[in-house]
Amino acid sequence: MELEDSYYPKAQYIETATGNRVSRASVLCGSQNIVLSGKVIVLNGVIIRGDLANVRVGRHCVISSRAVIRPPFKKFSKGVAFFPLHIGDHVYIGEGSIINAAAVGSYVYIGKNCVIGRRCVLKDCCMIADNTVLPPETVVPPFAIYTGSPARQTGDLPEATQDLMTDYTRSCYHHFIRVKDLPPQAREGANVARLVDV
Amino acid sequence: MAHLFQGDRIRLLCSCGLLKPITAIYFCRHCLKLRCGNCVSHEVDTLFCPNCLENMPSTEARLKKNRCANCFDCPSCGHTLSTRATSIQTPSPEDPSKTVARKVYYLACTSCRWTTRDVGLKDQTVATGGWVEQDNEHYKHLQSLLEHYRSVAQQEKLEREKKRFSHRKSSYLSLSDKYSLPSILGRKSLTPLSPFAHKGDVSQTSEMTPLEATAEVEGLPEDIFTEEVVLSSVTTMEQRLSSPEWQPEKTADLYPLHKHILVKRSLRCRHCEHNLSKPEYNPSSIKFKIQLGAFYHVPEVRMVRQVELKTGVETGVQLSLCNPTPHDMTVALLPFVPEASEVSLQKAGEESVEGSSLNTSSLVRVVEIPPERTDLKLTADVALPQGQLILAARDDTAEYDDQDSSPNYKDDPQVVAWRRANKVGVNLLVTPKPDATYVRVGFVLRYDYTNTVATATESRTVTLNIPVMVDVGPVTQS
Amino acid sequence: MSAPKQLDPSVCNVKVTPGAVVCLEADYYGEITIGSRTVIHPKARIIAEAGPIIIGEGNLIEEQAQIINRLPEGSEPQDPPPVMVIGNNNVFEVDSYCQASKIGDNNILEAKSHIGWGVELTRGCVIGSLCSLVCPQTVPENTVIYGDELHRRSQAEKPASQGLQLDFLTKILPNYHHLIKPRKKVAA
Repeated sequence: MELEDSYYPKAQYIETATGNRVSRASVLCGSQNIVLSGKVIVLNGVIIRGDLANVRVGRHCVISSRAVIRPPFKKFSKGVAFFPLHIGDHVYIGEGSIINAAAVGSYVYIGKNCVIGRRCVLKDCCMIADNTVLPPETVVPPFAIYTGSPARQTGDLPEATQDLMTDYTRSCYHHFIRVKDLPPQAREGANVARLVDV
Repeated sequence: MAHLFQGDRIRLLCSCGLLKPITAIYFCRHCLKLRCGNCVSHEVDTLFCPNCLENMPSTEARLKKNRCANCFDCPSCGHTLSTRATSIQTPSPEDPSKTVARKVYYLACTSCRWTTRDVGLKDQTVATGGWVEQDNEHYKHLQSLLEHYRSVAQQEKLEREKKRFSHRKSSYLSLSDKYSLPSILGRKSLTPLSPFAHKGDVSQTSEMTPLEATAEVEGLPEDIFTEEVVLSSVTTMEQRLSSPEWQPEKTADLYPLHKHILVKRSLRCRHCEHNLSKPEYNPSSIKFKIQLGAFYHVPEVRMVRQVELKTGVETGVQLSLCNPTPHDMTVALLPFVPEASEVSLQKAGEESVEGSSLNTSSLVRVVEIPPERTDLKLTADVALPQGQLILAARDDTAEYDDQDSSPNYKDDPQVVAWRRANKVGVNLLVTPKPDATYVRVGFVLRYDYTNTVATATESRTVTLNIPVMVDVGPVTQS
Repeated sequence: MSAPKQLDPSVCNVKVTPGAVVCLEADYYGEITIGSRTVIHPKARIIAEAGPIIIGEGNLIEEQAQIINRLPEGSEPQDPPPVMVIGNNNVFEVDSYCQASKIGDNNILEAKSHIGWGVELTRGCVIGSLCSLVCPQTVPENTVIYGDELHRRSQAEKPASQGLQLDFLTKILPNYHHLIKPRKKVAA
């Protein structure tokens, strides 16, 4: 299926110069340490803890509502340090997921309500299904599908995953359309005349 | 997300008769046919551990029984064990009165919090490689049995070779043609033939005393009926069977398991022996040396949105066609007749059987896959748009080009709903049949394929037909 | 820039012991007492609806964690109002939900875990991610609950303490967030 158009009122979102669309209802702590590389969509309720360590998010990522992006910490003999968290390009993060990973590769699909444990490493082109728990320090190899709690590999992704994810995140961004004001019927769905702000 | 891997809605009919989504199908450039995972041959390319992502040569993998040497799985929940370090005070070797802090390591599971200390394993002084393998009490016996049978197999083979060579000594030349190089390579898994080496050798077979079977079995201990079972000290079946050699019954006997290694495989078309998919050597890399997926050569059909279907009501369904090639493509939708396609599959199956017998120089065992019979029943009538549609070439730079500079194609507005870059939206009219609960529609997609590796004799552009089945959705009772 | 907002006293009454780092951006409701060395991240929710909540020392309450003292639906209001007591050195990870009546020391509620009304945690318990305990029960000491099917096992030692992390957070959180000032004395 192709994606449906999804509208957002201009007042509720901030659009930056590089094309990031960040909801005002999201919480970006320590925003000076957060880098959104461009055309990133951050929906409402997202919490990005840039105050703990640097967070870098690649291009064309989609961070769905209520997700939490939190850099992991590592205990040393001399104390605790929070490590920077790098997320690659074209990553889709589902609603309510908690990302505590050390690194997330590119072209990764993370489902709804997942828990990615501390210091996990997700390589490129992998998929984490809905409601999975990745216990701390798991390494997810490329083209793997992980499900369950604790997560195990349950399938393989097709070779074309890179292009599929690129296409998907690009069309997510393309279909995320700004309107002057969200008409009250728009919440129900299609067949609404849309006002496009130039 | 829903559409991303929702391959079940739109499926292509592979040349072997199975219906597969476009992401699971490969396109052989030389046969000009679709191949799916079922009709290609899978070969192991590289082996690697999913945790440390280290390559492992296949000989080493065979020795280690396809397990990683350094990574362990928790016997309690199956997750990967991580190494933790603590420092303890030990008396230093030089001066017993002083204590020196030394680092010791133990393995701990982060999901169920099982540690090697729980079963009494001592902490190791080295970070990796310190964990000793468990001893199997039957190990020696099994090894001697293997040796014995190996020598028996060798002997039998020698006898067979002697018989064969003594018989047909005259026709040696034809023999060497029959058992020429390719066939030896074809029998990769067997030990290589070397009749000349062992001609004079007669190996001794070790004498093995067979084990005697007895009818007497040790009885159950008396207290098995009276003793209370503490569930937390008894292993579950899953825990027990994950280490089949020891199958511990008590949780106190659980031992860390070596992690299984994963495989990167390369795919090869069975008919023309060309590679369809060859990944890179590095386990972390997602690139491919050869990638001939149908996704890149066949136009992709997608349903635009879910529509409500009622019996007998003609509903409009919109499909989007996407051109993945860098050439302009002419596409037509033709009606699909399931019976005709079955006949053509049978014919194709027979032709390929004849063709393969002429194929002598095959390095791979050519096993013919019989054509599958899939349920191709159509449950709705579909009114297809007539005429041809032109799809624009795929242009990767269009993303950065602000202007929408698409050349104007004269589109019939009833047929073409919208056109964007290399995609076109097409309207179809679907009428569910009276007794249908789920609407399944089929059509044949005819498109031009431009062959970039064509030789002088072959034509560059070929017209190909692919049957496509679309699951439109359930029928709501009106 | 207006002066940093403080909490609305008509909605909640938060008593912060000196040494605790309590972010202003969390949701508070009702009577809450917070012990020293406790860190509460922004966007946590502590709702003392049915009665007061007393949080001990050295606890770590991360964002989206919910600690709710609320009676189950349909039950009559109790007299005296039930007090939720949380001990020391507990960890409430992101998006955990706690409605337990009593929590001891050194427990860990991992991310997205859910503890319903009537459950009591003793000491050293670990409730794994996405696990939910709904039936009223007392969880024995040093129990680990994990996995899809909520397996239990007891572990030999209690979980490691978070002291180092608490120290780190005590140092850096004030740089980025507004905090609730500790009250030197309880208002009369």
